[in-house]
Amino acid sequence: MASPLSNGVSGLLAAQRAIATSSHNVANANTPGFTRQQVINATRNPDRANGLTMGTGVTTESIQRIHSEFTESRLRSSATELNRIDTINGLNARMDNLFADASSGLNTAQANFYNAIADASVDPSSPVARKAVLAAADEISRRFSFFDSQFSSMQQELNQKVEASVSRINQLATSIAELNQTISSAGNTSAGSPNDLLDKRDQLLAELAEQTSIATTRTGNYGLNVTTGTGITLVSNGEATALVTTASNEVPGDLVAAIATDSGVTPINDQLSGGILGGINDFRRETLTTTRNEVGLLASVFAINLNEQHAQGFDAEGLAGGNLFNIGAISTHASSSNTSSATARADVTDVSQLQASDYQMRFDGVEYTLTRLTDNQQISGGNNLIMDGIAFSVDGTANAGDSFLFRPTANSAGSFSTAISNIDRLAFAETTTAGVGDVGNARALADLQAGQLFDNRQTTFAQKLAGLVTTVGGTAEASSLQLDSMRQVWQFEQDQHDSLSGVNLDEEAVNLVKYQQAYEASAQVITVASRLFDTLIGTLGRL
Amino acid sequence: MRISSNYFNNRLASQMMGSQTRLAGMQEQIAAGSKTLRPSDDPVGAGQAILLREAESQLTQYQRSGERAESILTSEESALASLGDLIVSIRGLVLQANNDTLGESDKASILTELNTNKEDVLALINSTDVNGNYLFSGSQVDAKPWPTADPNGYQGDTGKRTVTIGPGNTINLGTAALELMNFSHTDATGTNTTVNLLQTIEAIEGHLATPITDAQAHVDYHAAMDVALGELTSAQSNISLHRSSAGYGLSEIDRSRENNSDSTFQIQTELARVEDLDYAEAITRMESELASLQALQATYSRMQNLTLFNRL
Repeated sequence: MASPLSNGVSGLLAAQRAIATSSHNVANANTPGFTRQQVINATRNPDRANGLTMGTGVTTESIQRIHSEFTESRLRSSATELNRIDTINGLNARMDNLFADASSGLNTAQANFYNAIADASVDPSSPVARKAVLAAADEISRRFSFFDSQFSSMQQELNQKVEASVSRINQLATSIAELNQTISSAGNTSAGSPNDLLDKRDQLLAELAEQTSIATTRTGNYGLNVTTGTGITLVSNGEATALVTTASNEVPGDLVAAIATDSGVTPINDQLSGGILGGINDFRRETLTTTRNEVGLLASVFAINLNEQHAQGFDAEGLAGGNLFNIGAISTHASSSNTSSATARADVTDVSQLQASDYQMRFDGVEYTLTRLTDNQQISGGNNLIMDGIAFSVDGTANAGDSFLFRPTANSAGSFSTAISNIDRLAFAETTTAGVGDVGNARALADLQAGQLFDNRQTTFAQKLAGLVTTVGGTAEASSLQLDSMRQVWQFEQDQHDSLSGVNLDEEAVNLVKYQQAYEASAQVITVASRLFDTLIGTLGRL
Repeated sequence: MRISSNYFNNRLASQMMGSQTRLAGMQEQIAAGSKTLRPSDDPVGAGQAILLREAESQLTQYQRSGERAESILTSEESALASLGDLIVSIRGLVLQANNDTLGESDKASILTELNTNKEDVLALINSTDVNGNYLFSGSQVDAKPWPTADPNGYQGDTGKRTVTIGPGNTINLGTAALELMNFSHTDATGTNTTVNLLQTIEAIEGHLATPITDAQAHVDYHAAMDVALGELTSAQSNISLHRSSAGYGLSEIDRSRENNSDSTFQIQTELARVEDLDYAEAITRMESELASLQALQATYSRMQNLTLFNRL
């Protein structure tokens, strides 16, 4: 029934709810993931009687959150990309810092080594000058070891980052699944949209999107599935699927994200293209492995050339020179999925053609296919394939489907060491018969400083190192520029999102004043209604 | 566009942080006096710096090798100059000895002087450089080249020692004493033979020690002195030849030193261009960054009071 009292009370309640909603907005102005809420008021059903339709006051239909699924998902994917680039940029900056000192250190060490040989050849009978040659050789070893230890610690650190990221993904997926359960039971009651729970879930999704790229699909009213990569399920309504970590097949020593099923553990790092995990993948593939191989290439080519020239000379006792430097053999790995026990081997046939790449050899049952992994260049044929100055072959009988990984320079810097410690083993003489003043081979060794030892005899050691420094610096510079522009993109999406969903305190202040006035007015209506009643009672009392 | 209250906070905070990051970078560059602290500051320049430092180090090495070679060649040259002087004085003695009016006692005193001169010749041939390496024993720098006066007593070899003193520029050190002592001589009959200086001196000594008893001996004596004079002239010109080659080596070192220091200067100029900070320009940039940071801070302090709640 239409009455001023009940109209007044309905207005009072509506104003109260509006004030409560505004105060909720003000209180959560700085809460991450909060989207502002709004009361939706409507007139109550009118009374129809005596040929009249009378209004019966106001009712609060719902409390909405001001939110757009589209804006939310754009913000999420830009956060995924931002985190990918941010991760790459941070790692590139570390590589950049490493090269700032270590590359000039290596350059100085190799120049000092050649200078020590030149000194010793001007002062041939001096044991001090020859000792200086060995000291300079040791310094080169230390420089290469330093590089390698830094690469190793980066590899360790990336493994820890992968583990941390995978465990964060699992944590978030579990929280989302739990929240899905809460939301679905909340959504089934008649209490309206569970706004704050949906905000919380969006916030968890935003955090998940920082780790890797995700896709979401709505199920039912408030249900949600989350997948990553090409359809790997992380959350299916109330159920979360945990990711695990496993050893990489491509780079021994790397840990990668994987899924565990009944049939075994499958790496999925190829599919995880965005976020922190995607950034780690990209940095490993594009920078760490390549740079480590490049420094290893410097070590290999330097050691092999100096050893070859050293072997041409004769030492203080007239014996032919032995190795001046040690480097480890080319590392080979039979794939863990091979069905035969065949092993792989590789021998350098032309050191000037060596490249900073890993290689894979695969047997299809008929012929072998060798792939250079930096650019996927392939050759096929029998069981002895020659590419980039290396003869690749398999020992034993391989089965169809077997594959082998070769890493010619990955461990060269780490295994680089000086092979001699006695100055009498320095093979500086050109002939066995000449005296100590015969330093013909020392001069030949010193000439290698300007020798074009790399890239089919086109590039010197210093040029190769300079090229590497330029590449590392250029990569760091590019990723830093990319990060700047991605920040702009993300900021734009964030602004779009906040423009719609963020709280504006001034707006809330205006609303508060507005509903305060409405509240006061409704209260006044109740007073009027009460006076009307009093008047009526007073009149009746006088009867 | 609707603006959320956090918009300004977020925006201003990130802008101020960006500005502070840039200031920190500039401050680091100014402290180091270098604009390329990391390869990413100038990737191409960083690569160039590697090559320039390599070239600089090589030039420094050329200079050092040149200095060592210069010291050795200077010892060589001065030994050869003394050797030339000695041959002149030996030749003077032979001229005296060739005088008709000479008595046996005069010959004896000439012989004594000649003996001393021969010792001096051997001492010079056995000279060492400042590091104790023998100058004239070829590659056998630790073997005394001519320990006795035996004309066949050479202990060294004919190996050459080569030193690189500039880009593609080498000089030879360590002339073999054999080449100093053995010289080619054309005698009165026009026959060309190889003669040894010690042999020549030995022959003169023999004649001086032998008394002239008859006319035939007198004729033979003078003929021998004439032959000795001829041989000594050839010996002298052989030494001069080697001395001038040492002198040529020294002037070569001078020339290459000049070239090397020119190149070093060019490299250092280029390195400075690649690496050194232009302070005036850096400080100007820093000033303008500071100004923009101050403006941002002023904006923030004005904005933070700007809420309706303050006025209700």
